[in-house]
Amino acid sequence: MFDPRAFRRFKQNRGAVFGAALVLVLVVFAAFGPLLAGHDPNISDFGGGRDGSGALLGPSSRHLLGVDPLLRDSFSRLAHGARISLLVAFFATTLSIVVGAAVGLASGYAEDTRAAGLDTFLMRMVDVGLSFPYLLLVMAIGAAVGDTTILTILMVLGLTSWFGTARIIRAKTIQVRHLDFIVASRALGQTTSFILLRHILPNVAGPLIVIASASVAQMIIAESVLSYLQVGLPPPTATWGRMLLEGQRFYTVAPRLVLAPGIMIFLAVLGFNLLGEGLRDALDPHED
Amino acid sequence: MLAYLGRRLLWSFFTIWAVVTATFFIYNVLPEDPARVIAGPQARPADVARIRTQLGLDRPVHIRYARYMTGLVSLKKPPADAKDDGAWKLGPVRIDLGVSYLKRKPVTTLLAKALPPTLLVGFLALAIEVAIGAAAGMLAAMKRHGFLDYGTVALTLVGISAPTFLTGLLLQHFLARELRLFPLDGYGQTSAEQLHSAMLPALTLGLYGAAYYTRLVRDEMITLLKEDYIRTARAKGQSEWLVVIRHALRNALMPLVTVVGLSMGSLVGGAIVTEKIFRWPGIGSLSVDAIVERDGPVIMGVVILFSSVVVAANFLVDLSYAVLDPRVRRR
Amino acid sequence: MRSIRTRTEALVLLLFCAACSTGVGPPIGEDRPGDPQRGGVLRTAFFTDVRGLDAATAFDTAASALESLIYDGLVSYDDQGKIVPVLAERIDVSPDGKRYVFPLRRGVTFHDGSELTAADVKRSMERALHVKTPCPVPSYYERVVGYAAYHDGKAEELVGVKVEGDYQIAIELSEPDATFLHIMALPIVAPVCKSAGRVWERTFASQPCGAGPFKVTRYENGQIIKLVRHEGYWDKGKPYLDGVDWYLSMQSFTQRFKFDQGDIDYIRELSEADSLLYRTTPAWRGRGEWEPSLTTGGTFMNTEMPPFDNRHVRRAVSYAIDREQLAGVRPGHVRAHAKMVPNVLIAPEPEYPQQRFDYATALEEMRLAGYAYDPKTGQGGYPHEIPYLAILDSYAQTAAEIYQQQLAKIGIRIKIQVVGWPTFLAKTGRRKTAQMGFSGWHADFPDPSTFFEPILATKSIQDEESQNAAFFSNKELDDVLDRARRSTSTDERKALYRRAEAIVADEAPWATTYTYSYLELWHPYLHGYRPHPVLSQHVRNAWIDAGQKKLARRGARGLPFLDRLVQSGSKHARTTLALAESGGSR
Repeated sequence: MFDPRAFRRFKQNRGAVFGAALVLVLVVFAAFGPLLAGHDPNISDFGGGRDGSGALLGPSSRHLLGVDPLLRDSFSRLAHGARISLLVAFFATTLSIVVGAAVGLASGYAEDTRAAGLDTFLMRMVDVGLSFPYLLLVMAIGAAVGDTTILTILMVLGLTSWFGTARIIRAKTIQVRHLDFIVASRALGQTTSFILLRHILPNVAGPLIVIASASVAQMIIAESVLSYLQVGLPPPTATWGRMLLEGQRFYTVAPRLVLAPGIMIFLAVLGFNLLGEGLRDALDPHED
Repeated sequence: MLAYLGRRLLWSFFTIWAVVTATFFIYNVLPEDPARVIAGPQARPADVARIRTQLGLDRPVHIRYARYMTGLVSLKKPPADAKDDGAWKLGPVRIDLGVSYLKRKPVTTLLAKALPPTLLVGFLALAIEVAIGAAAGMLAAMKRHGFLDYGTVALTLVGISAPTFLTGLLLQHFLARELRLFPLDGYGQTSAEQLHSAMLPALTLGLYGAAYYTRLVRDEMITLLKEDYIRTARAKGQSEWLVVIRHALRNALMPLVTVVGLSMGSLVGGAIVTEKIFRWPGIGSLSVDAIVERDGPVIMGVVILFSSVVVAANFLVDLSYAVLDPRVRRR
Repeated sequence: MRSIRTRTEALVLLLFCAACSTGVGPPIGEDRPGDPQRGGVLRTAFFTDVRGLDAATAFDTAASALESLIYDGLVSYDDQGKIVPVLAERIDVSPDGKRYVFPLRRGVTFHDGSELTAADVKRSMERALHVKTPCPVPSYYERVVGYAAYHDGKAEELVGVKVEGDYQIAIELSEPDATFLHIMALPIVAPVCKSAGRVWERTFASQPCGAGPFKVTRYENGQIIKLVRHEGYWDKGKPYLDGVDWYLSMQSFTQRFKFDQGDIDYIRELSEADSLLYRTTPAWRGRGEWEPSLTTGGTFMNTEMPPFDNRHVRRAVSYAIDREQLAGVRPGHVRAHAKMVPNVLIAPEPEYPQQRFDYATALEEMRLAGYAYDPKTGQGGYPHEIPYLAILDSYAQTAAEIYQQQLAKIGIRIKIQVVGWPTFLAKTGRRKTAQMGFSGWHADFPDPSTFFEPILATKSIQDEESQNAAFFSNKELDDVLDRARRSTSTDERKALYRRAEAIVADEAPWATTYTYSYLELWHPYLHGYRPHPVLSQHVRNAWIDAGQKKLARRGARGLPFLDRLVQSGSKHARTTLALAESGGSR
């Protein structure tokens, strides 16, 4: 998996490197931005939040990117929003990947064997899961639970998006299972779990990483859509989707309120997509 | 093969049932009360209780479930003088989705009303996606390593990275507000107006899909263009275009069709945010409003519709595979 | 080469500035006094949808505005907010205040052409108060003789409403009710056509039919409601407008855009940013008016749940909220307010009992409560986080975020829970469920009683769906309110309500913090409209100066983009041209 040739291919792919750079910048921004901001993202600056004419303060020395409609520092909110977006995206993806991979592996390995019932059962579950209107489900659960925290959002997002992964991993597992060395392994009498963990898993790791990268991008969008529709984290927590929503009404006087979070979302998603692409090309290149 | 298809059909119905049941129970665990909504905050408690009884919301959950399921699909004929409650009739079978708590109209009526706008935007978006996807994908594949290719790949990346609500807002700002090429939002009255109003939401959804499909087609085309029979055709001296169109395109479109078929569900499920931005009265708006307002029958109706479409689409895709791919037929 | 590049840069700069700079279009038309003209269609919009137009069941602001155009009642309010007879010729009240007689006008026709008689009035009232009708507030009419029996389904008719010939109706009350004429002005009991039926049916909401100046020709949820003039309206010559087009579910920035272009004639739901723009644009100075606010907003505290069972904690909260700061976030729209009844109904005199902001006292109250808080160290205060219920998409949500900051300064930490209406009502209405949350009340009619009884009286407490979200029970308050409702003396009532305010300010089941007001704007070619003291969006007597409208529009408002180009162009053009020239000559 950690093939030096793959690494070299990756480095040569300019898009991939750019994506990786974007992601890195984002991570740094999320990690250190809040510290550098100098303002609490949830405290309104009642005294200095307005300029001479009474309008919301724009980019200035007092507030780097101006203030939001509630007179809170925009830069600080953007940075904190980055933290939340990345945290939610990473952990939800991890959850989704873990469950999806587990189900996919089990299902793929059991396919067409004596334990085929397991495969059928799991794939039926996947079918039902995929038939669900995804966003509706997330919203309904969020509404049902009532109290939305980072943890609930994480879990809901993670547990509703593993179905596609399961299918893909299952297909790959089946493919790998028929390779010679696996057959040999079985003939040698090695246990199922050993084979799964030591032989099959490393071989599906490639696609898994690629899926993970794309998944992070999707989670970022999903989280911001949830915030935009107001079924995400409660106020006053700053998330990009929420900033977009709050800024929309002030778009005509302060377009930066919409553009700043919008561009951040775009760059984050772009970065992860490029990264994912680059990884896919590096690990599993087309013969050009 | 018939047995296989029969099994798939049975399974489809089971899936729909599972989805409906799950949603019913999720919804009924929610801790609030539509009767209060209808009464409004200014009403006295006695009045609210009265409304609740009137709308049948005071029975325990399992009885409501049984009632709901039996009312849903029935073969009974309603009494001759019963009012038209908007149930759908498929021959002897009646499908009754109940009445919306808030709008006081039959759910089937609301769905029927919301479906045309959704389908309009959906198919328009699909047309845009497929047209751009096929054209751009083909061109990019044919002119590999050229400026067009790199440009296309770059654009598709931008396309799939921009969230629909951002694209929607931007398109609305520039094309509707600034250049006044399209109406700002809303549905319109005449067919012409509706088509005109559908353009921006369709474009918003379509651009995202177009980016996606372009890559798909491009990838498929690249692989196919290397196939032997293509090279043979070229060697025979046939023009590049003819080669492409006749041989490669047909094969490249197969997975496209699959993906299109499978995305039917999301077309119906609604581009929720896009509909919100453009005030588009489709299924997406209907479902969001229903969730926020806890309008049970409408939520159920949308879920049933959505899962039916997805399941039906899956089934049709399987069917087409069975017909087209001989390997499947053997099972 | 260089000059071209610089010119291109200049152009790009210009375009960029044009795209970014914002401004509002000028008012269309001029104030030309004259006689009302007949004709024209008024176009306006709502941000929400209107779910139904059956006045017996639809009671929200949006529906009410339309219902006041579709239905005429026995009585209504004049431009000063006084009760005047409308479909009644006059109002006769017996000396003991228990019998009201309304002789009816003759020749009043419904939208379907039939003539209004006393029997129709009785039928409409009975329909609204019928046991099967999901009317939200039938209990307003509980003092009508026979109400209890009728509304419980035990009686076939509402005996207190008496038909005395074709053109006279009398209503008898079990005891005097100072609010009676107000509740008769509500569209709930307005006469409706026979098509409404004796008993409520859901189809009427989308095909309403009454005796008002306008009738509905088109009603599409979430899109538009079209009204046209009722040609048989009893007040000959009125209404002036040919019709009204009311767009539904239109966001405020869309409304503003259309208003700018003259596609909407009158706008009420401007966002705070937009209203600030208009207020600071010279061309619009002096135009438009603030709607008199009949709402009170604030926070309720559940007196049955800790820590709000402790009076000192509640008082601390009411002292800790800086109402001016709250208003500062939305200047103009939000005004600081510290008593139950809006200032429009009862203006505060000096020494009037109210709550107020006083940080030191707030800290002191916390100390008395046993939760002393030290602002320097951040130690102390109430140890648990308190959930605060706020409603989706409302100003209340914004306010909650401000309260959070302010209450943190006295050691109370709140966690905001944004919920939809139904969840909000369910949670706040259930005993021992919601500790704290948004509270707001809009006057059903312009009388102080509507601000106390439904929300702070003991009899409004229920285990479920309690309107009294604070579950506040105070014997003295109950007594005072009862006397005030029964009394017919203005002075006595005034004194009683003053006492009621004192009790509320002292016990603080609510911290009242703001009133919300809308800036209403209309183009000069629209005449005859002003915000009404009681009736929201009362456009029925408006008229349009068609000549003005056409004249001004012809002055070509092109693409906003180009307009701004021209506007900003005059500013920037000189600079950029200079830039371009200097580039070329180098």
